Amino acid sequence: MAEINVALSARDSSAPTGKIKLSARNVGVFYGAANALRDVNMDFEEHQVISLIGPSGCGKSTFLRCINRMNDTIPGCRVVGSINMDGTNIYGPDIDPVELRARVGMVFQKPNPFPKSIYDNVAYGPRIHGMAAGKAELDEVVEWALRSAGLWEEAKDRLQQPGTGLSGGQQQRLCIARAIAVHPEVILMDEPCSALDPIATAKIEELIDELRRSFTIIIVTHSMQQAARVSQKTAFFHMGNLVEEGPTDVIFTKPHDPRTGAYITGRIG
Amino acid sequence: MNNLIFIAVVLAITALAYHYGRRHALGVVGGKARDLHSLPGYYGAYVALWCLIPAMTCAVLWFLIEPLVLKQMIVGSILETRPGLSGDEIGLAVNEIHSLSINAYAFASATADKKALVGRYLEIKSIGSIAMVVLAFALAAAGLYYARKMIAPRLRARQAVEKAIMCAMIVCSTIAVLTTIGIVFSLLFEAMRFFAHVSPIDFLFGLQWSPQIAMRSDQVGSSGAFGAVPVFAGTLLITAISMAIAVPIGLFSAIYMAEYSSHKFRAWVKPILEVLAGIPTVVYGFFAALTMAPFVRDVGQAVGLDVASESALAAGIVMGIMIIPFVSSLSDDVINAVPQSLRDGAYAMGATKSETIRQVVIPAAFPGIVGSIMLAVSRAIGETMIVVMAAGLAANLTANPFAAVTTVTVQIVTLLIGDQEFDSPKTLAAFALGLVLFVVTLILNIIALTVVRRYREQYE
Repeated sequence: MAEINVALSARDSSAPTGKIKLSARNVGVFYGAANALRDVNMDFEEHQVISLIGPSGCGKSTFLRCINRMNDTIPGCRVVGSINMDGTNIYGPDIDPVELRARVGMVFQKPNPFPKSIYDNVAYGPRIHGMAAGKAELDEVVEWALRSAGLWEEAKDRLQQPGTGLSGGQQQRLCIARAIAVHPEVILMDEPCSALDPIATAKIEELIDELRRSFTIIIVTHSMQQAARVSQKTAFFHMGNLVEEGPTDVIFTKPHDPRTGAYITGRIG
Repeated sequence: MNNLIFIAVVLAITALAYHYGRRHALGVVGGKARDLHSLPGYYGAYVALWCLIPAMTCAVLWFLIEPLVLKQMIVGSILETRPGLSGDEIGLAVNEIHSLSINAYAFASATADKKALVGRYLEIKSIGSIAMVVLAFALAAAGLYYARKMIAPRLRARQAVEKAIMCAMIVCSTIAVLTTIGIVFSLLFEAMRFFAHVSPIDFLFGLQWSPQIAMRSDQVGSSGAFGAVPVFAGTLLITAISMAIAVPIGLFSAIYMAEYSSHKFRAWVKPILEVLAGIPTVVYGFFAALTMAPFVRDVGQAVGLDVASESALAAGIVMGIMIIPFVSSLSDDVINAVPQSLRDGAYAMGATKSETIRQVVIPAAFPGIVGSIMLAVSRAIGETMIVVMAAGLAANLTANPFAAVTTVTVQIVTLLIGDQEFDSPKTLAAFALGLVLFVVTLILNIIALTVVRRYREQYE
């Protein structure tokens, strides 16, 4: 707890704009007959980092994958309820998940660069969405994305080398650059640091705080310290239910639900 | 028959040695297997190997040197009866006696002194065999005695047995390699004999293929022409047609099975497709000659084209159908092996399914796909039965798929069928063709391996 308090006080507490970016209403997920997530209601403010915590199998990753409709790619997976983004239900009939995913980017647990050069990895999104008019513009987008992901200095001399040749931490920043290159509004991160060493983790956490100025970030994490360090708001999931959500410092210091306190102090999990 | 009995007895002794060694090892430690270094079975195997290996080595060595020893022994007797024979004549005489000894009918009509020699020969042979058997059993007994003496709780029996097994594995893999080398050399030597008659340059670059050799000098068509270019051009044409059929169909069905179809559909269709690979090629040959060739000819006539009834197209199409499962099944496997995380990454970028497949999955699976295609090409080049039945025999140098062409494999078959003299250029030409075929497939495999390795370095 002491560690978490230190982390909380060190956190940048600049005030968010207060505008609601996403709101989930009665969201539930079924894998075949199994009900993995029940009745989640939650709002996400713009330019905030929101962390989703909870023990393994609690439904936090499942919920995250609802927000860019990645669950659609899993056979037998069914989502109920609605998620509104800027007032439009992303599960509405006239929403194309492909378009949605250009607005809601995602970074995965394990770095998954494509088997292409560093440049082509970052340029992939702008290319498929026709976002750059020519080579010069594409170069600009790639440089901007790599700079924003803090990878430009390390990668600028080896843009044509395969992305898979980078170290694990660099690969994960490449994946972040790839995600932000299409200028999404929301970035989802599914345990982005769980495969990285502490130094690479610190770099990514700094980056998350930077990126908050331009994007809304929702991050799933197993590390309490990380949730406390990077997020303004925290939601605790347990057994497929959203138990409690609120400002991060409240969740970590004065949780309402006994299960939240028990999880944070390591008694359940 | 005697040899079979010998082997059976040695194996029986080995089995007994195993049980004896196992029991003895347990006896040494008073039945407490925990006090032994290795499991009791290893001590049994240790003793058994000490019996088996010396006895079998002795038998194999005798098998190898028996002819030499026999010859040396009988030469003295031959020279007694027929002094003053030259070296070649002695060899001839020894061979004759050997034939007489195994051919009762010829033996009956042989002269008396030859019969005596054969009797002496058989006598030496049976003494040698008995000596070998006695020696082998003595060695087995010595091995048994030695191994029994060695058994102690601290004997590393497992290591010793595993080492013996490793040696056996090395021997097996060496056999495979040596066989390949042997095949290459036999091809090479026969081809050299051919090149003594026909210059390699004429063979490799000549445009005329008509492998006839005259029996008499006044015969019609007496001049043979061994320019292999038309034959190789025919092979290339048919291979190209078959790949033009097999690669698109195989690749697209692989992509459909791996990316679009349901698991249930795939579980049904993939084995059915693989049945295609199990159909004997001679059946494909029927299909090509009786169904596909007339069909192609009729369609050609309907649109006003002059199509030969043994067209390259018909043979190529059927061969392509045969090869589809090679491409589809292997490509399906490599596409399935592309990690799901790469697909997730592409979907999360807002890529559509087809963009994901074209830009991420296929490039990642590319080395494996190239490998499967190269395997299919090698198969197409070496395929024999379909082209023997459906392609022509005339060596036309043409790129027209409606004409009849011939292939390397067809020519090899026709050159070697029937009664042949094995020293005429006509027959030897088959070996030269085989050699070139071998070199071409070897080069293709090397290219395939290089491509696969290069992309693998880049992508993983």
